[in-house]
Amino acid sequence: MKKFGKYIFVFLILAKEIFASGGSIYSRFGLGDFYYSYSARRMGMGELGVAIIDYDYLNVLNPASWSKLRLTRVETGIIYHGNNIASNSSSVFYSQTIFTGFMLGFPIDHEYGISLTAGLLPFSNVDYDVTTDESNDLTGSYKLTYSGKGGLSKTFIGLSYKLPFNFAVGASFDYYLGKITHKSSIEFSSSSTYRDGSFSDEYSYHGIGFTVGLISSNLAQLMKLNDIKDLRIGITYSNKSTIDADTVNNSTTIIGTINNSSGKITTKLPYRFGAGLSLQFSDYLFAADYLYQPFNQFTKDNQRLNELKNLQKISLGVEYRKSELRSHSYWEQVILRGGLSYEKTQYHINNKSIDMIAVYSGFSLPLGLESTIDFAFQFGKRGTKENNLLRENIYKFSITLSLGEIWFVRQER
Amino acid sequence: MNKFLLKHKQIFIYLILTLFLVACNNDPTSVGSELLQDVNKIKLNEFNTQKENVKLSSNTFKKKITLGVSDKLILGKNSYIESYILLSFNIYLADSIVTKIKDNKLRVAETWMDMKVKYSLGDKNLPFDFTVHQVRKNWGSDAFNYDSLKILNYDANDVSYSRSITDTLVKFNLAPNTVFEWLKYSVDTTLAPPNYGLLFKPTSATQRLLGFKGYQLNNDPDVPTLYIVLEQPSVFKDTILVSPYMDIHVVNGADVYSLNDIVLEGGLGYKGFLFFDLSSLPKNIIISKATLELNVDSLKSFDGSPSSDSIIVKVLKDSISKSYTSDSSYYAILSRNGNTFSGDISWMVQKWVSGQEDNQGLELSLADEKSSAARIWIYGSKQSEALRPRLKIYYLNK
Repeated sequence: MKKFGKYIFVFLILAKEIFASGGSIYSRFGLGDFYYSYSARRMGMGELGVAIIDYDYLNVLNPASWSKLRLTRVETGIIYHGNNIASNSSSVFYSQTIFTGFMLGFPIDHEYGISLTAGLLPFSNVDYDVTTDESNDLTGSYKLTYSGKGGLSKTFIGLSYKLPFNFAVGASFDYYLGKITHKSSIEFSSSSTYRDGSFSDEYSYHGIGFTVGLISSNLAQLMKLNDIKDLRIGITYSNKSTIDADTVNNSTTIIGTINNSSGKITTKLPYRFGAGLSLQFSDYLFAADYLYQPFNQFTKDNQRLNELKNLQKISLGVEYRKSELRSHSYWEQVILRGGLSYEKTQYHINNKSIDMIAVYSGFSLPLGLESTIDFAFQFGKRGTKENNLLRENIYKFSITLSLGEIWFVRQER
Repeated sequence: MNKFLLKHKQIFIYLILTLFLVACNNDPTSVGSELLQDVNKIKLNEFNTQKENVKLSSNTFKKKITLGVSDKLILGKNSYIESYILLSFNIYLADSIVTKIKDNKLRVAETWMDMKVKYSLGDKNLPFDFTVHQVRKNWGSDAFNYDSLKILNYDANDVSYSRSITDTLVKFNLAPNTVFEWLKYSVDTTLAPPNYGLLFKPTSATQRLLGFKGYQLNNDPDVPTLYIVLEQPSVFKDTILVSPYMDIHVVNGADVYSLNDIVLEGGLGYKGFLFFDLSSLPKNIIISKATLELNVDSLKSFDGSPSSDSIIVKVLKDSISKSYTSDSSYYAILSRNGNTFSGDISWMVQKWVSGQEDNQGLELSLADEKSSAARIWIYGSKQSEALRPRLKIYYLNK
């Protein structure tokens, strides 16, 4: 645990120091951009993995995947996110690095596949900062700035359980929390007699939900597919959550910050459904996933947002991992990954769906017998320049520490 | 390689993570501004009380002001005001002089006062004269007013002579005996009547006012100065300079009748009340600029030199009692340009529209109301649209 503590401490310190400056204005709509992969392993395989059962990784997409957890595990990491955003007239590059939270997994009973997993993870991200230079005869030149910061995090705690016929089931209790602030400000030139001002809308979210998942047994055995080592299907479902938000509307004026109004609103986050297939062939693990979330049901303060439509994502991934690890050299223990995905994001702006296509790659380096440091890279293209929209080239680089140790073992005297 | 990585894995991790600290960021740009909906954009709007047909009311009222702290002493009279001055002197003498006075060896050969002119109101060709009287009753500058003056005991005889009045200096001689009495009283209170100073009264023919520096600081060379020439014939001659240690000017004037106009007067405490009904302004707005403009009726105004070119604006808590809000130590200032006073009262309007203060109107007063005798006549709410007070508000909303 001492070793874990050191790593987590380093991650936290660095993550605190690293801050963001701007991002996609698409995140202004709804709850912002969603995170699907919290670990470099998932990112390296196309960000999903609903049907993958891991014994040495924690997969938050499907609680059933914890049923084969071998050791107590801690996973934490950071993601660097670069975004080259281009409109028809200009482009800009933003970058940010975020702490991807942490997960703790405890195997309780191997025979029944009972594992307890908990964590704190980023769920959505709002980060944009747009400034326009304006002028008129009355006031002279001035700047208008529209910015948004924040996002939701998800804390969860859940259990997995092995059903008869080696089916695995899992469920987690999810608690969403976080603050999103949208700010609009005007700044006149220093020689102007007009005074600057800004409006801010703060939403402090909190709400509960749950996620259930199911992963089948090895269907290859049932189907007597001898060349295939492992074949599974999995499904996951997160319920439609009601997320309340305390709202504060402030103005920054000549007499200081004024609270214009405070209140509560309710946000309805649509259910999320995922289905996947995993196939182990020799040293290769293939995964295909589908994710669906009907954002046309998303409401904020009982109002639907025209800019949000149903989200769909398809991803394919492959992982190369030499079996019988202990008999190989260090480089033969390195795990390689690749993937691609196509996503119809939840954004539908100016009558145009904002789609994204991305390719992924990654690898893991062993850190001892049960721990790895995982790296993943993603390059994606999102959106279009048509209809006054933005096209984004997205670069993500993720590092995750996945640390395994034996805990709770009684020492024999 | 395996052994190296395992041995140095911590350094390896630290190095990789440290790379992220150099994440680069561009300054915010306009990329994406096209996706902002109009409803979310900040807009600058104008609200002009003149154009918006805002309900407006104004009047003149009187509030007691204490002139004891004034930095000017005003003497004279005109068609609407008359002003008196009271000065009191404490004379401190060297021991050698005290001895000579006790031995009755000294006499006051000559005594005069120099009063540098620091303010004037009225044409300099108009008559100005005054008389000086020895006060016979104790007085204090804290709460002294015209009512106090009416019951003040003073000698009827004028102790001044040889008055010389120029644009820059008023000079006159004082009766030597009067001053010698003060010297004796300062040496021994049993030797002479108490020294309660002098009262300066404008003559009835006077038609203008002059102002002098009031006592504010020790050793101020501009305050009125009493010169006393002491002489022991054939032996000793010395001149003592004495400045007043207490002073005040006392003002009397006729009531102002102005209907809805705002008449601001120095000395008498005439102030203006002004109210704009801003209830038609939208809620949750940011005041970017709020300029109050007042127009002067120059024909009814009497301004001095230096000019009363600033008006202080304070927020009222109660339009009836004319009490102030808790933050009335903060105020706005309107400056004069031609026949218009204008200034920014953004923070006041912001307080009203934000509901931090109930809009009970504004109090207007001359910034130099304690040190001038000016009358500034402001067109009020019943005047024509072009002349009445107006408030131009530029506000931000979404």
